[in-house]
Order: sequence, then structure tokens, then C-alpha cells
Amino acid sequence: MDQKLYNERLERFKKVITVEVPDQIPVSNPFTPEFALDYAGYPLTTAMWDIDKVIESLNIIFRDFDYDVYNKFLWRAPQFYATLGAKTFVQSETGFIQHPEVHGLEADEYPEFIANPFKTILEKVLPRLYKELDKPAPYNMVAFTKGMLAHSSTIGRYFGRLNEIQDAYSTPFITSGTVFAPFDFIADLLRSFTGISTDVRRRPQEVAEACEACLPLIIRKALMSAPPAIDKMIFIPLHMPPFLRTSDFEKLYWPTFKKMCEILVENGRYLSLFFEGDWTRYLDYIKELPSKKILARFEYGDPKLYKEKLGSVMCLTGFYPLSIIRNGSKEDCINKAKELIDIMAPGGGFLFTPDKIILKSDDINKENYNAVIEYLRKEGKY
Amino acid sequence: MSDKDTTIMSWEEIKDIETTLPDDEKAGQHWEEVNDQFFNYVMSLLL
Repeated sequence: MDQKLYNERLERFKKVITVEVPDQIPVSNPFTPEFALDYAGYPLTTAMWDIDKVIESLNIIFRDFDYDVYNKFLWRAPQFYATLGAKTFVQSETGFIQHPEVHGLEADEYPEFIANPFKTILEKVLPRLYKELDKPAPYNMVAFTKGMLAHSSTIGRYFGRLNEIQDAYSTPFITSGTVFAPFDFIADLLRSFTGISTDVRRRPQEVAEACEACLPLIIRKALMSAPPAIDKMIFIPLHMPPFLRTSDFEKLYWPTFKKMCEILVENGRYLSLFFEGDWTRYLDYIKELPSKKILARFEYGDPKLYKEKLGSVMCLTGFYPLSIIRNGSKEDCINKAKELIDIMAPGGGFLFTPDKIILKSDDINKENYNAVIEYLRKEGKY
Repeated sequence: MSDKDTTIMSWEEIKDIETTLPDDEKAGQHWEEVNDQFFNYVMSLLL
């Protein structure tokens, strides 16, 4: 490891998170393990099962692209999900792990969940989502234990081996663990998109109480996942608000999400929030989140408006359309980068990363991508 | 870092965890008391 280079990159990152001016705009590339495997020429259907190929492929993208920091992505090891007979995450014909529309909690079970969420998760939700956990004892216990071993020897091992890459390329990996906002936790696997969409209309009070009930569990999981350090952020992808009415967001999503952010920050944690979809109508809420502790990534919206509303509160990133890198000319790409840094860079608090996570090698034109990064290196100095 | 440095649980540790499996009412009733590894694993199944 080149310790000096690592420290320079880390310092650059710390400056933007605290909304200060760094020496230059830091860069982070949202390359997933799936992208890395595809880029390295491996078929996802088989290579997704092989941790050595995943690590080798990630090494290749760190060799070929210029980074300051990296937001770690989960490798959803198929063998772990297969061990448990998962209905939640299933490998498709293309090799990608898909999340089918499934649910583990029935609508009339809200009171039970609210009274004791962890017990309900153990006894009702998990057996419905994982076929092997639905077997009679002791087979369910054997499956549970095998799953735990599989989790540790695949996903646990993967996160351990990412340290090799961090050291080899002197690049701070800035996240440590993932959790969901309480509403998203209820929506994703407990009630599903369809279920929660009905619940917000038919049983809003129970949805609100369920969010309150699972908040302590999510806080515990988050605190366990990340130490209090600026380069060990808790990654929180935010899913449902673009699909909610603003009045439902205000009553059902926002209170426990805000509380969660505040508690985590009070406990010394830093947050990497990925605002999926368009959050423009929620900007006045977002600016109430804890100041100078958050990396906020946006997909859509007017960068000028976001800079104006949130620029003094949190570090902003995203907005740069990946579609230009894929379909535009090199000149288009550089012009867009210039336009964005003219808006976002003044005063610091800006980190460059495209608006979308990169999943496949044909999501980008490599020459365009590297031309943008090269431009930022030259023109992104303060 | 070599593979040996990563945390793969021993059978002894897994056996300890078995004592807090769902059949034991305490695991669900008093979630604050279940051990961290058990809790972390259960929550990771829903993320």
C-alpha cells in the first residue's frame, strides 16, 4: 500500500463529507461485482458462484479505472441463498441475482409484528421466505446453521478479501455495512411493493407502528455494522418515497427514517444515503437531516436546486447521467462534466460519481468514462 | 490479507448459536438478549 496516496485520498474524502473544500474533486466509481465479472469476460451464471473470480475481477477494474474512494457493494453469493432455498434472491438466466416480488408477513399480522417484531421475523417471516427454514425441527435448525456457515464463508469472506484490494490500490473503501430505512425494511421483504402500496391506504396506522417497532432492530444492526468513523459509513439505499404520496411520506416514511439518521449520527456514525429515483419534492425534508455527516447520492433532479437547498448541509454526489457515457461522444461527456462541476464544485462538498450503479460492461463506454475522469483530474482542482 | 484472516465460524461457535434458535422462546421474546452474531445473521436475511 502507498500510505501517502491512501492518506491523500482519505483526506480529500473527509473534506467533502464535512462540506469543506478539498484539494480536488474526489472520484468514486459505482462498479458492482457483476460489472467487474462481466468486464473481466466471465459469464455471470457460473462466475457469480466463485469468490476468487469476483476478487480477481474487482482487481482488474481497480487496475483499469482511477478512483479516490470506493463505496463497497454486496456480492449476493448464489450458494448462500441456495443453501437456504431462498425465495427472496434468485439467480436469473442472465446470472444476475433477482429479487422477486415475495412477502413474508401477511396484512393481518401487523399487530403481532408490532408487539414483537423479532419473534415474528423468526417464526413467521423467515420460514416463508426461505424454504429450508420452513422444514420441521430439527431440519430447520440444521438449515439455519448451514446458512450461517455459508453466509460467513461467502459474503463474510468477500468483505474480508476486499481489504486486499483496498491495500493493493491504496483506495479507501468508505462503507461498512448496509441497512434500510424502517419503511423500506417493511416494504422490501415483509410486505412487498404490492402489499405496502395497499397498506398505506388501508392500514396506515399499523404501517407507522410497524416502522416504530422495527426501528430499534435496525439501529442495533447498523451500529453493529460500522464503527464510528468517517470512512466506515453505513450505506442506506432508499427505495420507496418516489412511489409515495407526499402526505404518506410525511406520516409514514419520514419520522422513523429521520429518527434513525439522528440516532446513528448521535452515536458517531456517518451515512451514505442513496436517494433512488427523483426526490425533488422532498428536498425540504432532506435538509433537516444531520449536518455534515452524510454523503447523499441522487439519480435525478436539477443539480442547481439541490446545491442551493442541500449544499451547506451534506456532501452531494450523483446527477451525472450514465447514459451519456454509454451513448454520447467524448465531447458530450466532457461538456456535461464541465456543466456539472461548474454548479456543484464551488464551496466544496461535492464528490463525483455517476447517477446510476454500473451493472454491466456495456453500461459504459470505457474511453468516454476515462476521458471524464481525466477531465476531472485536470479541471477539478481547487 | 489471506483467507485465514477472515472470520469463518468454528463448529463450537455455531453450536452455541443453536441454543438461541427459534424453538427457544427467549430468542424472539427478548431480542436484545440474543447474541450479536445470531442477531446480525437474522437481520441480514432481510436485507
